Amino acid sequence: MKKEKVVSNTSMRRIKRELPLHLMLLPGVLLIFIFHYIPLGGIIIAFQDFKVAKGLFGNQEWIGLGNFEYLFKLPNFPSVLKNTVIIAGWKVVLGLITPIVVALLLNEMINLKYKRVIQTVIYFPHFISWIIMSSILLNILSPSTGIVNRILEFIGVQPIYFLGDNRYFRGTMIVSSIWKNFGYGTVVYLASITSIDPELYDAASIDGAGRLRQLWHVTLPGLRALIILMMVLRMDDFLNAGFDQIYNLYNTSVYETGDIIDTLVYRLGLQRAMYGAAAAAGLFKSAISTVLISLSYYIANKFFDYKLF
Amino acid sequence: MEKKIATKKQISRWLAVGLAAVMTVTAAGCGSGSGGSSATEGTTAAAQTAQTSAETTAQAAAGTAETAGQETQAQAAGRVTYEPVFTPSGTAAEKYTEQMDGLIDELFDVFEANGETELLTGYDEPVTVDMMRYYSTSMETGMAGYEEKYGESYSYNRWEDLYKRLFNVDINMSMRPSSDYSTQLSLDMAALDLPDIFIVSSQSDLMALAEEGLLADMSGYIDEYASAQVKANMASDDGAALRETTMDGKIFAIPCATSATNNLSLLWIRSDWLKNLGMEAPTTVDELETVIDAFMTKDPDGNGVDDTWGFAVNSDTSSAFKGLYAAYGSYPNEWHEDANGEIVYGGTTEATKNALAKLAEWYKKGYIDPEYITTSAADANAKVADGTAGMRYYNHSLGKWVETCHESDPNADWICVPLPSATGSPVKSILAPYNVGYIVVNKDFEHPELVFKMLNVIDHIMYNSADYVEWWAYDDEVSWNFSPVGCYGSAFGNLDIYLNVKECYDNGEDTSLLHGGGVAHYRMMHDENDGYRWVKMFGPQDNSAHAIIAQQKDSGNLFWASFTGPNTKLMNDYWTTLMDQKSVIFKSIINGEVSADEGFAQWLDFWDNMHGNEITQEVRDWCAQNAK
Repeated sequence: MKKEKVVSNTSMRRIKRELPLHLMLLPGVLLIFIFHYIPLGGIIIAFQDFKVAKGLFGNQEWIGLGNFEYLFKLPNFPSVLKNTVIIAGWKVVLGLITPIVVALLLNEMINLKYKRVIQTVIYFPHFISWIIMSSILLNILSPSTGIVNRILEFIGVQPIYFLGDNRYFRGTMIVSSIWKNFGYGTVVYLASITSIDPELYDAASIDGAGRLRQLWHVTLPGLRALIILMMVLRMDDFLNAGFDQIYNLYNTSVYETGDIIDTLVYRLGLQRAMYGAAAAAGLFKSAISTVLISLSYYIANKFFDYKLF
Repeated sequence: MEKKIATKKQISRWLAVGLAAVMTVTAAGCGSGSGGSSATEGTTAAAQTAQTSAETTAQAAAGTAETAGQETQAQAAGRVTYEPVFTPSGTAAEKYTEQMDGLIDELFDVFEANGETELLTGYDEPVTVDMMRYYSTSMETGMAGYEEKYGESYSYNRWEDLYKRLFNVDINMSMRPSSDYSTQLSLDMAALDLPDIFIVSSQSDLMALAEEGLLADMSGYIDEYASAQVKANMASDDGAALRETTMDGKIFAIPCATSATNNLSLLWIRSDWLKNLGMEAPTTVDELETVIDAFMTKDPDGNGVDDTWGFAVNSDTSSAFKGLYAAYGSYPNEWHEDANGEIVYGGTTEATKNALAKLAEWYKKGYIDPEYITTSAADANAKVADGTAGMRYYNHSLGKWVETCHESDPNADWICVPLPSATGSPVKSILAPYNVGYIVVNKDFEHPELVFKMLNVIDHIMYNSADYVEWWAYDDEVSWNFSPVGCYGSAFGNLDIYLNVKECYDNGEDTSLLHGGGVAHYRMMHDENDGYRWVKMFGPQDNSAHAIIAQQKDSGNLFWASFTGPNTKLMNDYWTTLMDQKSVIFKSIINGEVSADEGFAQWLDFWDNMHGNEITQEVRDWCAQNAK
């Protein structure tokens, strides 16, 4: 009798059983809703001649695509867009490849202690904020006193003004950003490599596969899902060339190659209170990112049979 | 046994539920706490507190009225004060009481003598006012000390107490850190939730508020409610600071003006190096070049190492060489009148081109550190302090760095000299109002005149008082920063301090001649720790920073910028782009990537294309409309 009742209420029981889980999920969902969904309403600012003193929902003047038109007509917008794509593009590509290569190399190391030390050392710069890192870079890259140029001088290269010369600025931004962040990716890949079934390696070596073959046929396929995930997620950064970094390191001499959408928006939006144009630039970036993410997910799904959702 | 396990499970389940619930509540709390709505909630709460405190005060006032018998004497003399709602506590509470009572007596004495007694009249019914201002980090250390000594706090301190006693106003003060003040204010604006009297830190915020008609027009109150001292300070700059806040003939804010001379670029130079090399201070740009050359090549510090620069330079060359630009009659960041009396943008004049050509020549000769591009102003000042540079164009505040240099090398001696000229005639320097904020009044507030009542008092303290200026304004050097309305300073306030100190020295250090800021600066000059810097900046000798400024003023070589008004319509759209391009081209001229003629022609083309000439027309129209 009692048992019957329980059976008839399976779905009720399920809900009851999972109720704590749902409740535990709630704070996260609420946070996302409050901080990521509600602010989406601010998108309307991109289509208004926004005057802050009229109030957020006040009687603002609607100007259609006026802000976008203003932005795209700025004489430096093409070069700013170009800089953004070049810097961010290289960061995405190198940021994907470098950690994989380093993780594979580290994985081949025999001395475990040494491996751990290196792993920690390359991870460390990730925790230093760009505002501190920028003064460190200013010092080590200085043409007269910086250590990098002392080394270059030692091997007979003329000192290079990495942060003041248009020929080197973008490269410096890309390399320093990769240097700062590749440790993080490396650790993720290393963790994933350890979860590959060691029997696969044994089987491969019995079949006569050498180190390289094992790497190609066992390790990389084992990492495939993670690599694709990282790639899809990184597409989000395709127009994020790194405001923190560039804002702290650029100067008027390298506007030509170093000015990016975010820094331009900062100068327009916050310094001159042009909220409309700033919102339009942000929306433009988000739109492109959405397209790129969707596209890369579609490709991953279609060709690699990868499902995130 | 089974039952026990079940209970355990149940307990852990409920624990989980409870935890989730707590987390939800916290998250929701966080959400509203850091979002834009926080301002609304905060202020509503403040308003409620205000109401409560107003009621209490009303009761207190009623109480006072009953026992008014004791006060008849004071009232007979026209000296009405109101019951304080703050009692000092802490280690030096007596000093607080002594200074408070003393100042109030002095105020009545002085204002009566000036025939301005009515300016000290309070309100019969207590007036509650919500106020807001920013505070800087230097105030945080000050406040810690005041709290210990007198029991003061950000929300209640000597200033609020003083204004309560004098005017019967209950101030609900909201003090915010200056670092993100503008952002916070924007949020308040967007939420349409503004206090009664508050300080706006930027001109663009001010204009945004004024355009929407949220501010009271102050123009009608100046005549009736400003004291002679405040009016004198307003007139000290020919009304330039007030013009910044004027729109369509209405004055929407009272600027927190400070000394306009703070922006003047002076030539600081190592006099001991000049002496070592047997040279005189340069008076022309040609002589200046000889000095740079000697400082760089002739080992002026005599240490046998080639480690010295002529100039300490930072990336913003228009400030780092402001004095050199001025030598050519160029003011690259200001609007001023040209030879024909027309208003032009200084960045587009022929004189600016000449100055740039000279800088390019210096760059080529190696007089300018090629790394100036990534050198901040503070880094350049550090070169002054560590004794690797012999000259720097900077305002008087370089005194701090000069002192550091002197501390590490007692032989090092920096002096200020008149700006060397390139044209044969004395160098003229440009002045612009130096406002640290703008006091505005909400259009719904009933007593806009209260701003002046408060300003009159603090301006008396800062400029006239001898006995009360130290504790009220210079206590730990920051106490005037708590003043709810800041201060309307004179454009030549710092110069007046120098003249006052000099007068004292000229009369055999007769300290009874000192008043206002002079009292504090005389004391600071005698401070054994950092007296040196104050002597370098305000000292009576004829090569202190302000001695040079006094010379410039007396010889008529200071003039006011023509336009410091709000952004014009086209400026809003194009100014950022114009200024970006200007700095890029100027830098490529200096670095020799393009000749001065060619580069400057490119810049003028760009100026034309980006509506520069129309902006000039807008500026001229504005000046014509708002002329004195």
